[in-house]
Amino acid sequence: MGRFAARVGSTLGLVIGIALVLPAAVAAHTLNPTYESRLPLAVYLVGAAVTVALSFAFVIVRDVRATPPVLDQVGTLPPAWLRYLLRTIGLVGWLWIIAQGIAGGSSDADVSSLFLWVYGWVGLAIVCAIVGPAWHFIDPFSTLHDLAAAGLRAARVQGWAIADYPERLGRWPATIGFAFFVWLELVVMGGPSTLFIVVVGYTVFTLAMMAQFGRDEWRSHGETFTVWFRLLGRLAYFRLVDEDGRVHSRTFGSGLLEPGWTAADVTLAAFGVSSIIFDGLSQTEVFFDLFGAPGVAIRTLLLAAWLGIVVGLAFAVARTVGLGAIGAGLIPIALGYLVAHYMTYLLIDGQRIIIAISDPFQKGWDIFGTAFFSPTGAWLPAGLVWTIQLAAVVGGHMLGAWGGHVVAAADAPRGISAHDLRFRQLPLAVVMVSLTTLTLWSLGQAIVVAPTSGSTDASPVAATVAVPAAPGD
Amino acid sequence: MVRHMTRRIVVLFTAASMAILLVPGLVSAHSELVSSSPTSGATVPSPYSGPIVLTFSEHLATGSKADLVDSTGATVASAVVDPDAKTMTITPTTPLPAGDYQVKWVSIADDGDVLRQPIVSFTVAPAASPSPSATAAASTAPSASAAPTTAPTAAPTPAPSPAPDTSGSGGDVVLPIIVALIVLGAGAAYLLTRRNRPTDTT
Repeated sequence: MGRFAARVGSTLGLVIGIALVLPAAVAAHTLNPTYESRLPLAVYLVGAAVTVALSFAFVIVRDVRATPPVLDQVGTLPPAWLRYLLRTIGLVGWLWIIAQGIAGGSSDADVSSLFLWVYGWVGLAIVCAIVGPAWHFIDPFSTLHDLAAAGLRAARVQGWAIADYPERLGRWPATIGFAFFVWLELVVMGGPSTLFIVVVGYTVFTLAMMAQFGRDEWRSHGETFTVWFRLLGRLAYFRLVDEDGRVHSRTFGSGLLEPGWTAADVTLAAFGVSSIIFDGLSQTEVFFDLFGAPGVAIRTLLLAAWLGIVVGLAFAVARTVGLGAIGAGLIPIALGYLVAHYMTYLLIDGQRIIIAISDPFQKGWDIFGTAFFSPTGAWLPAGLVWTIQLAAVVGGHMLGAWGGHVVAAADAPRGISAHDLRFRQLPLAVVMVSLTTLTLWSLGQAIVVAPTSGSTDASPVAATVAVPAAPGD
Repeated sequence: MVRHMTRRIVVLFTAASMAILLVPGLVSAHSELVSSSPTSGATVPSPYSGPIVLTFSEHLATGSKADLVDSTGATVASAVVDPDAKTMTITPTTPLPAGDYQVKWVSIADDGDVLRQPIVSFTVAPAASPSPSATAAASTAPSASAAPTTAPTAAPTPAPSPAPDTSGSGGDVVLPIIVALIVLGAGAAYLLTRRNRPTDTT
């Protein structure tokens, strides 16, 4: 009975804590200066920490378990029309970026930032994490590879022999590439000309690696977007069964329990979480007070230091609970932060496609009469935004706590006592509590500085802050 | 072999990073709207014949243009662009009848940067009163600068449009709390009432 009372107490505490904390926290996530926290910062920070801690206490005390999923399904291919539609969208998007890059210039019709950051980095990540492996088909690099291979075959050109992919390299190339893109996003904040060069360079590099090691080997180990989206896809409703694109439905989130976590995966997950937190931290007043508006070199060092700290923490935790537990804990949090932090960016800045179709090459055209369209968030009801973001934060955290605990329990040495099992998970709980509290704090701070931060910075990420406050807000 | 490969990839991405920093044009040279006459949001007395003058911050490249459109979207007149004076001037051939008007402009800077916001809107007041009112007269005074939209960077600039109530009402706060309570209560009840799985770890 005592345990039952403790469970009821912890559950109630959890519910009350979240109810107290999240309206303010979620308001903070909108990154909109017109949203205001209704609670003093200290109250919501303490509440956040208590909430996260209690939720962990809940799954640990309750000792929730789950059976790892069986992975013997054959799967089915998505309909041919859908596969070709997605491939066409990916290829057209890539060609559009290239065409604009060749034409030069910049404007609100720029598709390099729209496709790379808004639809790709944010939109596709969310789709791949929730629905399934859309990127597997959209991926323009694979489509280009297939087209080039078909062309060479038709021309009877003999390609060179495919080399064996070094197994020990694992998915580290993709993780290194992820760090590069995070740096591009959060430090360089380059305009269309920079993004054009990156897209061209990355395409050449990817096609060369596909030619060297084989398309499927490289995309599943070295191609950053594929590896990152597949890692997030451990959550998704549809699991990618094979490289041909067969999928199979499953319970949402159950992929976290699948084996196969590597050090590169955990590093990638830690990069994913910490980069979003860095984005938030770098917009706080405290950050500006400490570092001002740092140049590229200082900002690079700050980013590297922060990513290093979080990766170090993740591996420190992994020493006691295993790589799988920290990975399973971080991935849902990454998705939650992604949705909460960037949802309004996706919904508002994503509207620029309406401008782009009227001025596809940034020449000042107005083909369909929509070039003067002004993206707006006026149609977004504040309550709905808050509710969705609340669900993202709460859901991401709860799923992370559950996944981390279940995998830690499954990976624990046989014969370990229940007490020891709980004790081993404390570092995991502490890290997750710390990261969540820090994130909520930074996002709470963003409310204070958002009106000024947006105008001091020309980055796509700055647009994340500024856009919700754009016309109509 | 593997170490060499990893090192190569790190070196490659580092070299690419260095190269990107050398890419010119990280800071775009927008030709921003500095001022307009009439100012955006102004009301001018009827009849109004202009001229409507837009002044920009940079030299205007070929392709820069401005159109005066009425409330139906029809183009009433187009601007004469003076690239060196950094101005676009619209002189209607006939006085504008009362109504709402917009000046849709596109500025193209020498490096190809295209701008077209914010749209300048103004109203030509109906000539109902035989003697112009003081208000109307005042609104035709020499225009001050345009709306404060000349952000120093490419960051999207908030336009001075009416702000919707995004701060939310009390109901906006209560709703998420209720939803959270229901969802969490249901989840907690499920987990608490579910039978424990037998474990083999103890």
